[in-house]
Amino acid sequence: MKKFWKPPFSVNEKAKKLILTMKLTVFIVFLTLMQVSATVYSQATKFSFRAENKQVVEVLRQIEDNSDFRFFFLREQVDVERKVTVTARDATVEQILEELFRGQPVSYEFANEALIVLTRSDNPLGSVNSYLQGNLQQPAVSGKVNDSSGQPLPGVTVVIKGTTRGTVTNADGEYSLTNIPEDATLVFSFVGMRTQETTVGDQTRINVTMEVDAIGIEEVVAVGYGVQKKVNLTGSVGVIDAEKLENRSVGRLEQALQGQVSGLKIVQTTGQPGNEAIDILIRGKSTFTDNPALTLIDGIPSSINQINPNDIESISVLKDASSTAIYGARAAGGVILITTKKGKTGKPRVSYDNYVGFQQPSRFPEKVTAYEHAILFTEGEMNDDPNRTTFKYTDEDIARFSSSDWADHNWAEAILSDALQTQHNISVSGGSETQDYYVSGGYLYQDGIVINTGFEKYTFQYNQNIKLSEKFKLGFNGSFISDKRTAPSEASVPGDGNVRGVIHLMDRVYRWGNTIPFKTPNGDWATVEGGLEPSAIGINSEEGGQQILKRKKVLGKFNLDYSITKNLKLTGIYGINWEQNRQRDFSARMKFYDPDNPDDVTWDNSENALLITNSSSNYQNSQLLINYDKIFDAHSVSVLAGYTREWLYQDSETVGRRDFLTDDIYAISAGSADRASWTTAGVASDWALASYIGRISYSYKDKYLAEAAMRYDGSSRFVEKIRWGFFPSFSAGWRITEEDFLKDNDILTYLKLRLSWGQVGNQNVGYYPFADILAIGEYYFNNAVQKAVYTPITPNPELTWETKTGSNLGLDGNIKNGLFSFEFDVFKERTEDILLNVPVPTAYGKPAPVQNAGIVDNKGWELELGHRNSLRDFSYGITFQISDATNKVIDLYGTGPWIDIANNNITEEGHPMYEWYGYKAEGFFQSEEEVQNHSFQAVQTGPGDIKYQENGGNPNTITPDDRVRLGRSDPRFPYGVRINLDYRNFDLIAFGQGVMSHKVFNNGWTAYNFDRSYSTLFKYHLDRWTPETPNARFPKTRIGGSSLNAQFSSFWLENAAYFRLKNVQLGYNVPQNVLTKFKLERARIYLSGENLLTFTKLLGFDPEIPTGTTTRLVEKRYPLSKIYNIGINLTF
Amino acid sequence: MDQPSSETFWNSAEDAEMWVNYLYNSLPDFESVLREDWSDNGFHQSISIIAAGRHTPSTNYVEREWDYETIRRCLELFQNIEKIPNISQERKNELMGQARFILVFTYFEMMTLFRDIPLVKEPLPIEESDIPKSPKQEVLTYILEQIDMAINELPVSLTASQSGKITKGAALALKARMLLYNERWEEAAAAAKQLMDLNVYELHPDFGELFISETDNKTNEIILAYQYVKTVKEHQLIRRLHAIGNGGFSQVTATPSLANAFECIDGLPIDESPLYDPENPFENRDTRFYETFIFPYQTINGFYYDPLDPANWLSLTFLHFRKYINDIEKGKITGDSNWILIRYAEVLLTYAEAKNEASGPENSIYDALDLVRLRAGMPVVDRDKYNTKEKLRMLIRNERRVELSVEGGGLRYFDIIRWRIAEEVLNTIVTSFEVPGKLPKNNLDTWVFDPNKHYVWPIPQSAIDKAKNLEQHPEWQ
Repeated sequence: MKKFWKPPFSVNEKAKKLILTMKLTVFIVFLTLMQVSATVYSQATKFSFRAENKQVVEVLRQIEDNSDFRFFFLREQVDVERKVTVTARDATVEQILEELFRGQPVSYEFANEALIVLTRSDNPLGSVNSYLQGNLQQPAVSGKVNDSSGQPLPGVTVVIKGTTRGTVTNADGEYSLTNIPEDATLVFSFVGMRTQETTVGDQTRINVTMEVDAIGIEEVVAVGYGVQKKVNLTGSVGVIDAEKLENRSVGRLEQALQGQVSGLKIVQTTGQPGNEAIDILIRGKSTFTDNPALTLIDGIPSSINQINPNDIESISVLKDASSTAIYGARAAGGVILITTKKGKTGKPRVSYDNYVGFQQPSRFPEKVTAYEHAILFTEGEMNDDPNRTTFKYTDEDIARFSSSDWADHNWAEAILSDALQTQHNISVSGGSETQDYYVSGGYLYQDGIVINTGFEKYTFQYNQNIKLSEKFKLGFNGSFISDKRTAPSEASVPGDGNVRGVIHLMDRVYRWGNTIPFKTPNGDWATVEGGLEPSAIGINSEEGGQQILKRKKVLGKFNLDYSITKNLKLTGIYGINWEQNRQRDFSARMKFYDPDNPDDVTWDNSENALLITNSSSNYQNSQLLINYDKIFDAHSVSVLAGYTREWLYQDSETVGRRDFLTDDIYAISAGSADRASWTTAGVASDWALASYIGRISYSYKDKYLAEAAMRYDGSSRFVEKIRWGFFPSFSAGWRITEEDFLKDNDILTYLKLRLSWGQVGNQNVGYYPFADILAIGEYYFNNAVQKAVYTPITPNPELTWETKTGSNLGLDGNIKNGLFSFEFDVFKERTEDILLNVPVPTAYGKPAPVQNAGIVDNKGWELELGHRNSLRDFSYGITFQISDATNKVIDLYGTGPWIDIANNNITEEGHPMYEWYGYKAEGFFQSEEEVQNHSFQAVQTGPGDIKYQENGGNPNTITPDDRVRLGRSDPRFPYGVRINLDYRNFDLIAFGQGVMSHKVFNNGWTAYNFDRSYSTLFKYHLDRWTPETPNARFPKTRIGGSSLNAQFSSFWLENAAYFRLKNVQLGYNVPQNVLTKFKLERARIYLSGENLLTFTKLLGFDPEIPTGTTTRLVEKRYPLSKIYNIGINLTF
Repeated sequence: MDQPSSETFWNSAEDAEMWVNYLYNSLPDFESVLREDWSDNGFHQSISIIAAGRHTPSTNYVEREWDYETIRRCLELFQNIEKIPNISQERKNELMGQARFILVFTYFEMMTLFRDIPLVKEPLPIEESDIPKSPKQEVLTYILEQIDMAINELPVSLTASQSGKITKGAALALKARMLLYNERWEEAAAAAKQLMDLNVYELHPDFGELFISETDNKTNEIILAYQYVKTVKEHQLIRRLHAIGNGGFSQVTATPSLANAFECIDGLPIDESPLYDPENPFENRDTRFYETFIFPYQTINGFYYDPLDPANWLSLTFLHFRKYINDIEKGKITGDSNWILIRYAEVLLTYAEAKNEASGPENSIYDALDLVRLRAGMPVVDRDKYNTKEKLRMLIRNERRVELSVEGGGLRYFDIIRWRIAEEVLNTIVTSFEVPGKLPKNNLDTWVFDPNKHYVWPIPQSAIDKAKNLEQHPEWQ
């Protein structure tokens, strides 16, 4: 709210603790304080003290602290910072005020017996007075404000919303206001408490209970199978509330979570709408296996993307093993709990949110021009073979590329464009004594920044809780999501040799030089490089066909609560997560022409093709839970026990035909009847899990906290005799500020120490590696397909889950009631029985079996800092979070080091996983002599090539023995900063995120100097070695030459540390008088942007897109977007 | 569970047959055309890594040839087939014979490239599989035993429904090839003779027809071929071989050295024949020349080949290979002609070479060579001119090169390695095919062959990294 009022001071003990007080240094002599009749209070209350060189405000506060008097003033009118020296001896308040304001244009007036209003005497009709006129003469509403423990709360500001009129509560927490307009809303605010709003309506008496805000005494967070007061948490749980997700123009929830919670690392690898690949990692990598975080929406496991972010009330990120142990064998990667919104008691409340904006590519490297390309290529040909007499680009070509008639063929420009993004959201919520409801509908439209891509999504959420009787409560949470993704076709005719799809398109756009036309002069699609392939733009455009994926998802949960006694509750839950997908992929007939002889068809896709894939998955979950909660004097006990069963079944079938009569028929039967050209495929899989869960929590005076939890899981993924696993955890907490010696201090509002230990598992061993499965292949005799089989894996029937044992130490604190806050965690975890494909000697002749073999340690820390404050009508908050996690391989079952040549990394006991491994570059050779004096590298090596460090082995030759560790491959120190500012009707939110250290291998067609003869280079490659530029960034230009500079070496490792301004929102709240006119409760318009600024040293590419190892990843990826939006939020 | 498991497998002869069928996938397929650029026959447009001596233990070409997976699958068959109840001895022999052939083929190629390699004779448990290299001779001894067993097990002929399967003839031909490569001349000649005496195989009357899909499995010349089937499984040789302007990659083009190895139609080498005109070098040549190359200013399937047309900029040597892609229509980039692995002409040439090395010129050698030459429309061997072992050797070697280029997966490379002539033919600057006044002589690449190193391939680094007892060859340390 916009604070017009300087909040007055208070004397109440409780309030004193909560109020943001400045330390007073005046000495106090406190004489008498007599509570007499109201009319004589001012005369009967006497003060004795001396204040020397103190601000007026400090003196006023002194009086307030020692009496029931409240002062009320505007800083604009009364100079309270003026220093004075005052001596009072048995003085009345009036005498003191006379003394204080002697010679000042200040007058005072008793608004009631204890409220004294100070105003400028030369401005007697100022705003304060005018307010007082109305306030005092026509009382219309009055009431009492209590805190949650029932104690009256003095000093609470009560304002009529949208006006500058208001009052403060007196020592008994009482207030009264007059001249209340129709449809008025009262806003109750008090520093350290959550601001509350109440509609007046016909009421004349409104009592309010304020809740503590800053340290969230009452705030509850979702934990496994229940909720817990945040202050009583003993594990490590990060919380993201709805506010932090508001108005983010992201297609997927994960994007909005990035950088919000320490220890939660989110990496988006492609930007294709509806197909974003997003990795979530909680507390870094602690195993070699796939170990995703378990996500649950309202208690039912689900994909994290199966929700409209607008429907989220809060998200809990369970990080340590004690918080997650109750999820047992699936919890080793951490757990994310999403809670959806719930209706609140009151009249129906309708909210509408909308934004519209456009997206642009965030970062896209610029290629060299055609002319530069030809010059560089020729230079490379000369460098590779000085005897060469013929070159790819003739002098005429080069002259043509440099002439003013020549226009570069800019592939990137041809496929990229600004794209529209918009979202509408409407929700209705409300409730009564017996039920509450929340209903919402959402629509997202995201056009792609790349041709032929786009996404649309409809979401519905329906939540309702009904109190059937005193004993029975019924709840329902359900969502339905329907979306549609459009992308280039990938349905190639078998054997037509065409590669298609977004990845192919991006690959070619990065790779082809500006010398290469994608259309002929006639405007037809061209083949490239003399018929090598059809232009990727043509084949992936809408003319080439389209892949349309339509998904429908239903997530539903029923729960029935039965309160057997006041303390004992039985809950039955049934949840379902159902998904049905249908993908229709159609590629059209197309002709491609020779750009030099534009009438000549050089590529004829004479057959069209249709592939239809239907897939479905059906997950069911049933739970029976018993809760027992009881408070015995100072002891509080809570017990949970339960049994759950889960099943998943999924399947998928693909059918395809080709050679359809026209390009418009989308039914399979319309295709060729030649069975040899049909495609069919299908897979299915299932698993089941049965589990017993239990938890007991105990607290003594909310001061000493202890908890034990366990899960006993039986998984169908393992053979019967080793199917069951037990996962225990213990944790304890100490709320130090509840101790008597700290209870009443003014500085430390809250301090808690947490300690936990637990074990969790990872059951992601794939589907049935214990069985020696057979794979089906084929061979051909007599021109006919013959069935063929082989065993693709080495089975391991003894396989069981990985077990992670972790401990966590945490310290949470809050200073001066929210002025500063911090959460600090250190953790250490060891994962044992890691599923390893322990490398086996090649003579074994089969892939390595998966074994429970490895041990990896992971340790790290997380820090979150917060600061918030308000200065007059300006309030702000800053949160900063940073974390780090480092792993170390302890045991590889006696094997290793594992050198992964394809991925250029090494894993060895005693070192982090996947360290870079290759030659150490020592700059460039500058002379033939230097080449001769150095270890032999290759026959062709010469000046301008990269020099590799000799490290033993054969001392005269650079061999694989000379490879060394080149540093960690995983990013370090992910961090995030969030700033909120509120000034009058304006608010500003800025949120940024980054990593502090990351070495990446930016490999691609274009990373090296002409990696292939079919690739181009980027502008930054112009900075290459020549005899004239010996200190260039890049070695001398070469074509291919995989044994030369393109070998993996430290030279190609780049620094991809970055900071990115993820989101900025500038909002304006429409003033109350306008709102009233349109019968609105809230209206806000805002401008926002995503990914607006990026700071990084990485050349060319987006630092968030992880660069590749084997495959040329970076150059196959859909660029991330920058988004500019304008939006509104309305509430009726 | 979405896949069947092997616990319920090995119950019937059909199970074993499906297993054997899969093994065929490991035979060299059309991609092995890329082996042509290991030798002086082919030039790779990007980089001839092997021919140019640029390979290292980590080069993927090297990694790719190290194939113990196939070896294990063959050995597992021998082990598991015993579990099958009610399988007839005849069926069992036939299946084991095929697996044995593939086992031997795989070992033989690895041994030829890598020399000493780990020798695995039964499926090993993991803990026993860290084994050192065995000397090449030991591997050879083992696979000769195995191929003899296969020869006994396999049938001489197949029913039509089995066409494409391995036969006794294939095993005999492989045996002859193995003995030839290892200079066991008498035995090689004997094995070849044994095959010739089966009276099953004969040369197909038309050389060019061998490489079109019409002929697939219909001629008695082809002893074994990797099978392709129209629309179901097609090869992409046109991409590998053809000119850019006609849908190809020009990945491997033919070297002038190969082209010059073709005699003129009069049976004389180009430097001796009066018919050879350097300004019209594509006239009056061995008929096989026209089936082997697409040469400049020729029209093939409606595509006029002009190597200097900028659209064909990757026609680096100006000569493209033609085998296997002759019957592919313009605008199509796949074909279904089988990829020949062994044919009767090779066996005849093997016989000729082995016999000549063993005993010097004799009539049976001339006869074998004449069969090959006459089929190509070439004159018979000039007995007077090629009257010594050495002279005849040169003719036989040239005949092998001309007859068998592009086929079988790198036969020329194996030849120049075993003849120890690689340092002569590979230490060279590769050029384009010069036609005075028409086509320039462009220097394309400089190849280096180090005889102290390059006659053996390095053990792949990934294999070294995974085993403690496997050591790199001294040449590569």
